[in-house]
Amino acid sequence: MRTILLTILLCCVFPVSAGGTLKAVMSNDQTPLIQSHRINVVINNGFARTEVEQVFSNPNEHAIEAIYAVPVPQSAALSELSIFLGDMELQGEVLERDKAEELYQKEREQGRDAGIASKDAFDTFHFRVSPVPSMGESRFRYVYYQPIDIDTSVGRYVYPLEEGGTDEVAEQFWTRNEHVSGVFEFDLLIKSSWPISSIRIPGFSDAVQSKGNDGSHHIQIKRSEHDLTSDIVVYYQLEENLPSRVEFLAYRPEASADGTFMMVVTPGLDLKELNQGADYVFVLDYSGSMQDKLSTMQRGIEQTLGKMNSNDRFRIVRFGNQASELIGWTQASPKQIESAMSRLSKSSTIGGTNIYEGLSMGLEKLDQDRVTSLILVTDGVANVGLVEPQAFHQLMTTVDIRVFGFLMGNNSNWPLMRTITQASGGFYKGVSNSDDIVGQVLLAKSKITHECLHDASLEIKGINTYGVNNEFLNKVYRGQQLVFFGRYTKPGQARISLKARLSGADKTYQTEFDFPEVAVDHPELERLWALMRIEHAEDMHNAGLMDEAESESLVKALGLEFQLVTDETSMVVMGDDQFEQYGIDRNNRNRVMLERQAQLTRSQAPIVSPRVDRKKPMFDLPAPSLGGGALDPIHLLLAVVLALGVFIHLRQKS
Amino acid sequence: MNSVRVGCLLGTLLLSACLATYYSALADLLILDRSAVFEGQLWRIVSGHLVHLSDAHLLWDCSVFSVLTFLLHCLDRRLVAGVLTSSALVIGLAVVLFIPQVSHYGGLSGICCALFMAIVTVLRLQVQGPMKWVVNIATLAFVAKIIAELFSQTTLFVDPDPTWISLPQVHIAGGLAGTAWAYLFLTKDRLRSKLSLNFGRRGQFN
Repeated sequence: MRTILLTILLCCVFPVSAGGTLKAVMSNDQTPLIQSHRINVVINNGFARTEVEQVFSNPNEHAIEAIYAVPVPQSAALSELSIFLGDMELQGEVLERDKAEELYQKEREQGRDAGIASKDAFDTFHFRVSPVPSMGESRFRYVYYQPIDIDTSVGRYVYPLEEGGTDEVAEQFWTRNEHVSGVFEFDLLIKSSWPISSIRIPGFSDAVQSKGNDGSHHIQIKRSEHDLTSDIVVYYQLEENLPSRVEFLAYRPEASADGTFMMVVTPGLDLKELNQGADYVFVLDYSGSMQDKLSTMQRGIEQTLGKMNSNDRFRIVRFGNQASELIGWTQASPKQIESAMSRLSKSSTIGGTNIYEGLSMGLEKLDQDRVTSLILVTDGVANVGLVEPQAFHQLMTTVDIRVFGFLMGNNSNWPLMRTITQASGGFYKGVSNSDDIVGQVLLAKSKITHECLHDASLEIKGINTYGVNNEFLNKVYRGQQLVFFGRYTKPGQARISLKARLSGADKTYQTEFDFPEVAVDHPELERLWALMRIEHAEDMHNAGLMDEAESESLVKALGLEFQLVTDETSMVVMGDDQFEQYGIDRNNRNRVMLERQAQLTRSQAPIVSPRVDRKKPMFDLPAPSLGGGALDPIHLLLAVVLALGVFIHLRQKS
Repeated sequence: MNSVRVGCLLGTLLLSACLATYYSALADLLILDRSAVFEGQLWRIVSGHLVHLSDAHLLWDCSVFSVLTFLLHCLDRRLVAGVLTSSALVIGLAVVLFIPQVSHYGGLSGICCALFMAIVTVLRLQVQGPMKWVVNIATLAFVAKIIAELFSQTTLFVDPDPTWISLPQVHIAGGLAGTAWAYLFLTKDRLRSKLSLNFGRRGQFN
């Protein structure tokens, strides 16, 4: 009975947490212990594969169900869940959410080994494994993929662990064990075809870095115990003055199948600094959930204000349950900035999160003659006032202002932030408490204070493509990398055009390259493309361009076809016999087999540059770091021919 | 320059190229760094040729350089030092003055092109009959290779480093430098011998 009650509650209340095992407050059981936690990350060719393996132990005198929850990493495609019984691996399959839950419960009640992975909106991945035998252990592993973009030559990878603090109801219901009593290992391999000048892992001074002969970089953190309470953020900086470029990866298993591609455009653009004074409105979240993030936010604001020119102006609006203007339009002189920071530091958090009212107030009192940017800093969980994304979309389309969003911490509502910033042509960034806040501010500042490309659009001609995420492109900022996913029906030479307006003039940047007939190295691209389509469906729904039923149906179809854990689908793990008995196809097992084979092949191959516009660069090259002539076997052959000539000539002469 | 000297010079240059490629501190000191040249570090115009950017780059450059230096030495040992020095200067200056988008330059390939064209020039002046055809074909093949590089902006076999752009222009500069030096040097000898003949005749008249 207690188990049933717990299950019902689990379904009703989404558990949020830092990385850690959970148990209901009312339960008399002891929380499962985390014996070991191993994270293995490979960043290669623009996307990261994160594999987490964890061993639980059960200190109770009866078998229990272990529940583990982690914040959802941004744009993560959860694709594998496995439970290990000794050396045997039980792999999961993605099913409709309700069906997966029903089968898991059925297996669990019959005492058979089973597991389930589900996703709660933007918030939490939770994993349940049953049974963990009394005084025994249970080992499980999950894998997710996510695209990694490079901003102004800086790549950033986050392994989220820190509690977002955005769901008070769940926090009151669950108690958590975040402590790893045994081995904690973080192993990250960066295989970059561009040279990396430095790597930084804030807060982990014991991280060991090494460089492989093939130019790859390896970072390792190993501890005998660890608390899963703070994020691991890894920055890697590429060398300066690298050429602008187009990089392209494709997956097309056979000539008769549709192909999937990922194209990363790193523009080299002459975007001039905006020297005339500009206006900045800061709209700051002072709701209760921001309590632990206030100091990070205030540091960020101080850094941003400190970088302003004296002819800039700023204004600060704060919001909790209601919005209020903390500081009206003020010239950005050192004295005024100091006074503003003093007032900010005295502000404390209170109540709920009324983002809509905060934004509405931020959009007031704008001077039409000055360029204005609105900087929204929040954890993004709107729970007071208007909360529907459609309302935000409508609000932002009524004014011509760029909104730059900073999402603080994990469990943040980044789909909502994406809606807000896309509608205004701005951008958003996640900011962890473990982040180099100064670095993040500087990156954002360089975008805000420079020209950007307007009305940008991407065209692919010469081949048939579909499902390309080029609808919300609009503006391209300094240092911004553009990541496109799509599918194509026929191979051949494609002409890629990026059209935009810069300083009032039309600009077209073009290149040409081949979409391959067969390419088998990156099967993971299919899942990443499907994830992009899922996010696109959410965006369309948030913008009021797609109704909820249609969006859910699309998400479900994509989740099932490409075996992704989504809001509509979950991954259930059970024995092979059980899958057969229930008549469930092993789609995910087949995908995983292909992906592992490709990963093995890639791990043994040298790093290959995916650049495709070398022959016909899309952009004017900025100063490259290195240049030179190169000789090859043809030159050596010519030299040998010449040697023969010289030899004959010298013999004749003598 | 006698054989021992040429052997020593070749050995020294190859060893220096290896050291400059594998010791980053030495590479930093020697590479043709545009801004450093403008700050007065003029040795980089010449020393930059010793720095290579990868194993493959070093391997091919040094292989071709060794063969061609040996051939030129066999043909006319007096030309070796002059071709090496003049081409190193001409290529370095060409990079600094005419290729401003390149901030750093390295590699022996330009000098190899100078050696190649110097050999071709010597042969063209010395050989006759069917051998002339062999020389002409080799010259045409060399020019075609440079044109192909100009269009493709890459080499055929050496895996391009993504940080580094191929500069066939330096091959043109090297080829012109080698041709010019060999031609002037050899025709200067002919001119001098012609002049001395004329002076002798005049003396006879006197």
